[in-house]
Amino acid sequence: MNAVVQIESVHKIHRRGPEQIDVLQGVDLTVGSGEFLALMGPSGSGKTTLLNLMAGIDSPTSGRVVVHGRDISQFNEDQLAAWRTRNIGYIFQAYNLVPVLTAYENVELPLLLLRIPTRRRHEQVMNALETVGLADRRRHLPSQLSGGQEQRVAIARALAPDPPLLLGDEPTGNLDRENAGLVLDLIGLLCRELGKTFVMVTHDPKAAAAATRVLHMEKGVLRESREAHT
Amino acid sequence: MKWLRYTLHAMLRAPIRPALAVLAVALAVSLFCAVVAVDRGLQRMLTTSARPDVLVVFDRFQSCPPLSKLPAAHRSALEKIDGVRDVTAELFVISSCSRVTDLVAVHGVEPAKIRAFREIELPEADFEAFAGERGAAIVGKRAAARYGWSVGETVSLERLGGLTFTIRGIFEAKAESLESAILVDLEYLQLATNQPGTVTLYHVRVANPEATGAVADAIDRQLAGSTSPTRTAGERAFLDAAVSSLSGLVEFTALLGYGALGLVALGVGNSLSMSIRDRTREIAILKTVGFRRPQVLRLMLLEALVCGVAGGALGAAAAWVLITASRFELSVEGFSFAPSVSPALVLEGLGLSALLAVAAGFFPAFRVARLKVAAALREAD
Repeated sequence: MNAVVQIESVHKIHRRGPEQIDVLQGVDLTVGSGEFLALMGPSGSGKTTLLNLMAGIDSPTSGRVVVHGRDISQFNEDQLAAWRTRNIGYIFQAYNLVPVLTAYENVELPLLLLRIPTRRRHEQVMNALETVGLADRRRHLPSQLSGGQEQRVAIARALAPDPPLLLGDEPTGNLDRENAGLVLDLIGLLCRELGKTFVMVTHDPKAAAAATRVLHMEKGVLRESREAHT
Repeated sequence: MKWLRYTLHAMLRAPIRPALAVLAVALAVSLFCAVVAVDRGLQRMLTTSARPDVLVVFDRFQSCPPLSKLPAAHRSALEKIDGVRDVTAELFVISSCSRVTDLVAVHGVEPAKIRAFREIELPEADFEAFAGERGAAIVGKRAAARYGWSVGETVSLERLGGLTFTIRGIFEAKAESLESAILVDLEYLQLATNQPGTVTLYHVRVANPEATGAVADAIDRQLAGSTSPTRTAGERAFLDAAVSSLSGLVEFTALLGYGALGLVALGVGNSLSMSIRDRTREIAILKTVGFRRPQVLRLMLLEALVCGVAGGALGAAAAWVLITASRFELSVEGFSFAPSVSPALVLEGLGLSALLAVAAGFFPAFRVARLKVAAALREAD
C-alpha cells in the first residue's frame, strides 16, 4: 500500500502566555492509499491538531509532515493554500457551509480557485452532488437543508476538486444515528470505489467501527488500537 | 466576474448591513455632488458674466448692489471721462436683496445698447419687436423654462407690484446669470416701479482694458462731489463683492462636501469590519478550501468597492435629480446661477467614493487575509 501521509517525529507546542502545552509529543504515523483511518481520543488529546497538520492549516513545531511525497511543513501559508485546493478535502463537524451560497455554489467554491473551463467546473460540481445524492437540492441554501444534507453538501465540496486525501473532523458529530450511518456509508464507498484516503477524527466508537483502522491518542501520543474492518 | 458574483451573492443574501453602508455612501456622495455643483456653478457664473473691459459704477454707500440708486444724469459725466468708450444704464428690480432660491430679477436695459454690452442670442425679429414696444420683454431661456413662459405671453409679477410685460423673445446668453433674468425697457421699468430718472448702475466700456483701474479711479473722483458719489469696479470684482455673502458660504459647504466623503470611508470601513468579524468562520473556511491571502484580500476589497460604486452611483443620481433635473437655481443680489451635476462631477463623485471605500476597506481586509486558519476556526468555535 502506497503511503499517502507520513508523519515523522512531529511535535506541536501551543503557547498561551507563559504556559506551554505539548499538544503532540513526537507523533509518527503512516496512512496508506485507500485507507479509512479513525483517530479517537479524549478532548484535548491532540487529534484535531494532528488532522490540521495533515491538512496544512496548522504547522508543526518540529518534525515532518509528508503528504504524497511532499514535505508540506516546509511550505509557506500561500503555498499551503494552493496545495490544499487540489490535494485535500476537509469536512468539519459543523458542516461549515457558506450560509449565503447555495449548495451548488458551496460545492463550486474550491473549483473557482482552479483554472478550469466553466463547463467542466459545472460537470465536477454536479458529479460531486450526484455522488452524495443531492443534485436535486443544488439550489437550496444551507438553511433550507437538514443537518445530514448539509454534511453531504460539505462532503461534495470536499470531493469536487477530486483530492486524493479527505479529512474529517467529527464529520458525524452533529448528526443523528440515521444520518451518521448514511455519511459513514458514503465515506466507506468513497474509499472502496474511488480509492480515496480518509482520515477521520471522532469520539464515537460506532463511527470508528466503520473505519479500516482505528488509532487512539492520549496526551499527544498515538497508540494503535485496531486494524480490523475491511 | 466569478468573484464579483460571489461578492454580490454574499451581499444580497445578507443585505441589511451592506444596504446601510451603500446608503451612507449615497448620502455622502449626494452631499458632495450637490455642494460641489453649487460651488462650480457659482464660479462658472462669475467667469462667464465678467468681461475684462467693462466697469460697473454703483452707489458708493450701498453694500447691496441692487439697492444702489444713481441719477440718470451721471451718464453725461461718465461719457466725458477719458478712456470711456461707451456707457449704458441698468435698473434692477428683484423681489428682495438676499439669497433666495426662487427669485425674479427684472433688468431695465437700453434696447439700443444692450447688445453692445451683453452677448445675447435671439431671432432678430424678436429683438426688433422687443425694442419697438414699451412694455415688451425678452426673457432668458432658463427663466422661461422655469416658469413655463412662451413668446407672446403677457405676464404680471405680483411679487413686484404687479409689473406687467409681454414676452417678445426668449434668449440665450453667454453670461449664465442673464439667462435667468427678464429684460425690459429701462424707461418702462422706471415708470412702472415709480423710479423715474433713477438707475441701479452703469456699465462702462473702456477703450483700453489695461487701463480699467485708472478709469475707475477717474470716475469715482469725478463723481465724488455729486449728490450720489460712486464706487467703480471691474465687473468681476463687482460680481465678487455682490455674491461675497454667498461665496463664503459656498466655499465652506464645498469643504463640507469633501468632508462628507469621509463618511464614505467611515461607512464602508465600519461595515466591512463588522462583516469580517461576523464572518471569521466563513473566511477560515475559504482559506481551508484553498483561498490564498491575496484572494481573500481581493474578495473583501471587492465588497468595499461594490459598496463604494453602488452608493456613489445612487448618490450621484440623487444629486442629479435634486439639482439638475429639478432646475434648481440660486440667486444672490439678483445674480442667478443654476448648479449642475455634470457627467464629470458624477464620475468624480463615483471615482472618489470607490477609491475611499477601497482605502477604508484595506486595513480590515488585510488583517483578515492574514488570519491563521486553525486559530480562526478555534476562535469561531
